[in-house]
Amino acid sequence: MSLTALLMAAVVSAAPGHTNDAPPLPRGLQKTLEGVVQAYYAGDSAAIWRALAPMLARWSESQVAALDRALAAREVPGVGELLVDVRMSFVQQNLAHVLPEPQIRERMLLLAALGDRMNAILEEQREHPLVAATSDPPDSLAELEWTLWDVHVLRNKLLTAARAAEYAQALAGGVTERIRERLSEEEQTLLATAGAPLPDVQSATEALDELDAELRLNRLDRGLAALEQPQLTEERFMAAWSTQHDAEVLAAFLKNQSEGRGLRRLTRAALTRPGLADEIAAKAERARQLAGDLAEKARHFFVGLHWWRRGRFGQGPELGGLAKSAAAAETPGGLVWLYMPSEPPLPDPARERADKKSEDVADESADQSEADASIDFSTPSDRMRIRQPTPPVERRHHYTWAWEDRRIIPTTGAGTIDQVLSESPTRVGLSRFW
Amino acid sequence: MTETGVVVPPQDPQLIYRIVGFLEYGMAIHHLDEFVRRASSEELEIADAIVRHRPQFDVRTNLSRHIGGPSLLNEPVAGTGDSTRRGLAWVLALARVELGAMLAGFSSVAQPFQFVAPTPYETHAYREILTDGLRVHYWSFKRDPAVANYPRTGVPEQHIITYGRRVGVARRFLEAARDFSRRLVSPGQQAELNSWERDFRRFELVLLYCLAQKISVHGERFEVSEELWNCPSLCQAAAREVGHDLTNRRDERSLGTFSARLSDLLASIDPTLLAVPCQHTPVQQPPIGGPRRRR
Repeated sequence: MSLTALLMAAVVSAAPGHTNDAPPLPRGLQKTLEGVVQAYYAGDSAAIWRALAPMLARWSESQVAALDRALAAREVPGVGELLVDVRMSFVQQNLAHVLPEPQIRERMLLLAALGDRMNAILEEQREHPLVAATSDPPDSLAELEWTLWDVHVLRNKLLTAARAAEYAQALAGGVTERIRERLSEEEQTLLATAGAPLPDVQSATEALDELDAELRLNRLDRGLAALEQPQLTEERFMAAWSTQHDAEVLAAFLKNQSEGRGLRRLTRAALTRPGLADEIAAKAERARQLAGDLAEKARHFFVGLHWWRRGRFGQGPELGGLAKSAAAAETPGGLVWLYMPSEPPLPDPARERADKKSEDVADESADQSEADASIDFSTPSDRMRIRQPTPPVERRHHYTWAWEDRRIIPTTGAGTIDQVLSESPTRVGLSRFW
Repeated sequence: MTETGVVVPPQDPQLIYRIVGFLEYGMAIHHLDEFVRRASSEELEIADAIVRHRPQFDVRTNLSRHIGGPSLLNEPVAGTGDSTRRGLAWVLALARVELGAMLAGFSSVAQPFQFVAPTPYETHAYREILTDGLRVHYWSFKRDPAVANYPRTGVPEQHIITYGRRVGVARRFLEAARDFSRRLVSPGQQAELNSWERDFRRFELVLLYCLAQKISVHGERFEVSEELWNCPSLCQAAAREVGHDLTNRRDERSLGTFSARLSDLLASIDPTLLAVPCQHTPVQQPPIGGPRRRR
């Protein structure tokens, strides 16, 4: 199959259809299955949870396995994966309280998943070249921009890890002695170590906060030097924005420190010199004078690019990254929250290489293998379930139409549309979206 | 008395806020427009260079070449065949087209692409990305086996809303591409645009007809409200086809009767619709697009 055909299949195909090659389920499970599948394709995590979690304790292993098979036949993840994903998505958005307390079976699944995620984030932080001190900070403003972006993403991941650790502690603490006694040794260990990574997460966060401040101090100086040059260059243009931004962030950082709300102890010498806050204020004022009205123009430009990057590369927790969660959409903060790639995002490089080959080379089989290595989908709804560091879409509008947010509902009884459609959660309205 | 009905759930007006990119591209356009408005030409050049030098802001265009057929509307391929565009204008244009498409699919804004119309600074880039979007949607329709089968199989119920949205988005792309290229298209291209529009319309008629049939079969009695037609794309299509603004039909008491009438009206526009087996129960279709490719 050629790359062209592969891409065509992705773009042309329909909303989820299915084959019924799994054995028939008992009526109750079948109803659950339909509810879960519909909620999954509608991107409604809370509905998935409502359909599965209350029933989990009542189902036997064989019933769960049967449901897993039926879900797989509809190309939907299994029960355990779905429940953990839903909970984790709520934890990451700081919305764990929205769902009721999990029962013991779900609780143990969650604790294992939380531990894995916390450890993965901590490892990523430890291995970062600037944290591990295996490389020096960059020199240019452009490179510093990316280093700070890296740090920003890592800090947000640590914030998620901290939430996960706190939630894990709460989950473990909520298990009664009577239930603990029935658990296996392995499960008891899981309970006992649930919140263990929290101190590591906190110290990693502090280390990054300090690194961020030092990098900004460095960039403030370089920016000021660039502004001293009268001719308009890329560096001067960038400095017109970065100096203002860095001065604000640093002032807030030092204010927190002076008020005892910051880090326990600063370890980087550059941040401990006397009179630093006044020095930064003076530099900010000098930068403002030098930049003039360029500061405001540059602010619009860089803030605009920042938002664009979020639109192009951000991923929500639903529909494989194409949508934000319904719960998050009820809060202004939740509307902004997105997964962002920690590496400087790029357009899909494997596809680009494959495209180039397809234009250069007659043998398209090579294109296919390279494209397949990065593109694992065959329908638009597949796009709504793949989570990659960078969204595997060039245009969101190629896929979002397939969001099956509603179905035509046949009704029986004297119901009116208002009754049938009574579920209408309150949502935050933004009168203006920019 | 047991009564049956069919509900077309209303489009959640807040749903659009959940699409990643809606808030983000909106904010991006707001700030970047402000920058373009205030910046001197020298500052614009510098900003453009900053964008050009960062690969994450590359915009790949002519995506339709992967699926397209021969067409006068195809983009001439440049000498190098390179489809990557760089610069602030492309960044802005992409944001506008994505945002316009979101409005087309998930809002009742009648002319979504006018709502995000470009400034002269990025009109060229906008037109190119917009037209490419139109081509992608058109060729994906033409090559979609489900679409090809609908006149024979009817439309599965679970496809009516999604495909209704899809064809609505495609038509908004077409209308916008025509508006923004009015003085630039040749008579041949104009004729092709008209032909594409007929194809979209034909498919939309099938969707509408099947929807009307389902409602008239099931809907013995129904409380009609404007919400019933609150699938903006199909509502607008129905209004266009039968000359009613259905969203204002607050006085309509019998949906079954009205839907039957709508079916008749649609069939009078396109008699071949009578052969579409829409009364059938939902069609179980095999996975479309072939088996999943896992590695």
